[in-house]
Amino acid sequence: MITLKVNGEQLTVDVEPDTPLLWVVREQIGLTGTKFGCGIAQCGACTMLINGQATRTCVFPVSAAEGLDITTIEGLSEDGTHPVQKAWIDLEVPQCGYCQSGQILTAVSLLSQNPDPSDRDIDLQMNNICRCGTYPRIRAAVHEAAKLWTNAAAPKATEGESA
Amino acid sequence: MTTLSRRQFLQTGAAVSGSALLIGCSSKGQVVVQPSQDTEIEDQLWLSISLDNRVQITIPSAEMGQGVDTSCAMLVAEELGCRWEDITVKTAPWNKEFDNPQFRMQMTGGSTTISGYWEPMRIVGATARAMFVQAAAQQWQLDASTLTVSDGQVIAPDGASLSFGSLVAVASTLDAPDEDNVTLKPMSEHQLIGKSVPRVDTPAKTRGEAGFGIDVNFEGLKVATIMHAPVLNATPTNVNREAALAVRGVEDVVLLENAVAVVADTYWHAKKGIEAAAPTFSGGESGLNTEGVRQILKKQLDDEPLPEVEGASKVLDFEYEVPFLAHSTLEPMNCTVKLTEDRCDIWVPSQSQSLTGQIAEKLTDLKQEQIHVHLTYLGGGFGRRGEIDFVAEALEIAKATGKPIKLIWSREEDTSNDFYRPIAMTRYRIGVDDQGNPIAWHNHLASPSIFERIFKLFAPGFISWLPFTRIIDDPVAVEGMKETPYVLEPEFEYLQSKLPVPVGFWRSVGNSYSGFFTESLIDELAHDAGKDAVEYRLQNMHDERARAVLKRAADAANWGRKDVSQGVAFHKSFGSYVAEIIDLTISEDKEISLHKVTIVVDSGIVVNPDTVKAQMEGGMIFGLVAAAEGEINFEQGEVVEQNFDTYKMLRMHQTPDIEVILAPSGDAPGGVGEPGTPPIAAALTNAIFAATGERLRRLPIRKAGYRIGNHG
Repeated sequence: MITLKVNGEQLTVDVEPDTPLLWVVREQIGLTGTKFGCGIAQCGACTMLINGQATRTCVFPVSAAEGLDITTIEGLSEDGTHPVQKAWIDLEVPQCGYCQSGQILTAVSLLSQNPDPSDRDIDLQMNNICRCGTYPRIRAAVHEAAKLWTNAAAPKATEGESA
Repeated sequence: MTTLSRRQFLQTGAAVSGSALLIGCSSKGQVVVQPSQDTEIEDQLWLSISLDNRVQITIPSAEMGQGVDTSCAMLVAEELGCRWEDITVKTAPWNKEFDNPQFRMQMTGGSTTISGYWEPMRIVGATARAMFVQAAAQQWQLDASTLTVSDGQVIAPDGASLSFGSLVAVASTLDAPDEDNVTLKPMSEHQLIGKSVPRVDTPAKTRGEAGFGIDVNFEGLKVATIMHAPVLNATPTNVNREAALAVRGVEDVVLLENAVAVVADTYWHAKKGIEAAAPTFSGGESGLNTEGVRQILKKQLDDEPLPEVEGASKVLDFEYEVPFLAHSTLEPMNCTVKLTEDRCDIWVPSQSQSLTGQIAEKLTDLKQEQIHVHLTYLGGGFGRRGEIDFVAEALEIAKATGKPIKLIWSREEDTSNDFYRPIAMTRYRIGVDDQGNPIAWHNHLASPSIFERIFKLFAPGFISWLPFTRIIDDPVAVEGMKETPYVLEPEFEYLQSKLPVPVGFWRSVGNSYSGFFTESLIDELAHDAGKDAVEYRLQNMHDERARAVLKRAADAANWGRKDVSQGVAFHKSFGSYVAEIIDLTISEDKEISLHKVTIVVDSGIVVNPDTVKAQMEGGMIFGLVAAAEGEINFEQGEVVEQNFDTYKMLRMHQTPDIEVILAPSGDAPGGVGEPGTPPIAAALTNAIFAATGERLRRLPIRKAGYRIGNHG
């Protein structure tokens, strides 16, 4: 038995320790927003946040995820209004949409470490495959999300300082 | 313009219903009058409007990223006059009443959704609007012609209004109007069509809530995965069943003609199971290799020499070549089947309800009314999901095990068991006048035929929609070569290559290579004539729309700029005209930096402009990936490229800026899903020529040592 913390919830799953986290989350836990694309960590469709870091989970053994904070697309926000999700909607990024959970979480990971990334920063970090070719819109949406996120965070930061 | 038949539309029915106005079409050609609790109308329903003003629209095509859920709903909503926020959509079941008029079957392909359903779907909306207006006229005792419709309300001259919902009960008792009484809005009055409407599927696709085929799940569902014979057409010889069944969760091992499947409780266990089963195969096309295939095509061309040209100032010969390509939809092939004695449910990311249903009919003893096809969202289609090989497999496994089955292919299986974009080799002999303009145009193409297989499999359906003369001459193998923008009557001959490799429809199909061939050739002719590549094209083009698009692109891209190398290409396909200009720089070690691609498209009437832009961006990138990296090779009958480490995709860091300019003209909508793809390969190689003087006549460019580095 392995205990996982997914989207803030503690769960126990009965799986072999070498099972990739992707399949445990999709098939045992039933969260299917994270996708299977290649199985060899090439495409990034399986990206989740592990302790805030974008991680390709199709090759990440579930045993290694014990005790870590796992966030899937379903857990990113209560109502789909995370700044990155908002930017994705504003700029109409998705086409088929299959890669977008992974793209969005990769962007969240980037922006949480680098709130105002340059094009070059985006090039380096946003390395997931999109077969529909939404790359130019993803690039624009990451910039847009950076603005939305900074604006959303600004009042909180002020509160933090005054407290 | 194609419209649905009178049988399909004018005998539209309005169901008497306590809850909704239902606009359907009867499979027996009868007016449908049914109480709403009767579900029979459900499978033939185009539109329903409920008492609380909710509008549900049936989308006849598959949503695979091209935005048809939104654009088709726009066609209905425009004429209906409802509020956009009251709309929900569902995808059509398997029912010929939803056939795409251009195919006479339910097939999402050929960039035909908007052009095919442009009239029918507007008529659906206009029919319902007319009935609401009539209902309000009755209620108010006013002449219907004095009433207007806006935001889901019928409005009287004195400003009084009645919502659609409040008129449902009366409208449901009316006969559907005759065709003569259904008037479509003139273009000038369109409120939705032509505006960028946010896609209805976007929010779900940013929350992980969009349901793809691979996400289907229900109690008791088992998961299967498969290993096909690595050598084309080989058959299984040995399977270690015991080892497979010893793997936790594994329940069944199923032998198919050219594959072995393992059924388990989860995908991961099924995958472990197939590894343990370690199937071996024998026979098949073990002598097949890429070089051998190329020699076959070369020999075909050698055996049919191009004719001598007389009376030209100069005669020029050219040869070009493209390889097999895989589709690589990011969602691997999958299909879910639940089969009982008297019912079959299929949940599948497919481009065709018809072909899915028909294969189930063939492989089970069930009739159409017992077979229920549920299309999910498609994680990419690009033509691959117009095939039903994976549907047949899921059906076979469900039959063999008696269990509901979700079959999921691995990426490796997906790449190595595709219906590939055909390899193609072509030769041109062009005679030019003393100005360097073409006066003789001889062209031979050697390539396998997609239609040869299609005819065998689906003969009745396809033959019915193809004019007989086109059947003789594979219409997709020759598209973009039989007609060219530059000479009115090219002398063209298609030499069909007989190869064992399965070939299929790959985004833009024959245009995916003919765009490269023609636009490389014309660039070479321009260079040989010592003329500017844009000027030379404009001078020889015979279609005003083509000329306008090319001019606009040259202006927008600041053609002739010296700080970068530029390449241009134009291609017309699926009724749309596209010019693309690429700006790039190249390092001494052949690393290309893509700066910008300018795309100008005239796709006729535009329904949702932002969707058209997105399709141009995506279609261009699809072609760019292929030109840069794409090739499927065979060695001893096995596909060499298996996953994204060897069958490479472009990434963000390589992607140039893209500017898309919509330059619509004409009075009908053209296709948009595919036309962005064909021009880019030639634009790229023409720019490489401009930069280096090296002419690349064979794709992908990596064969010549070029690679795409960071964008500029």
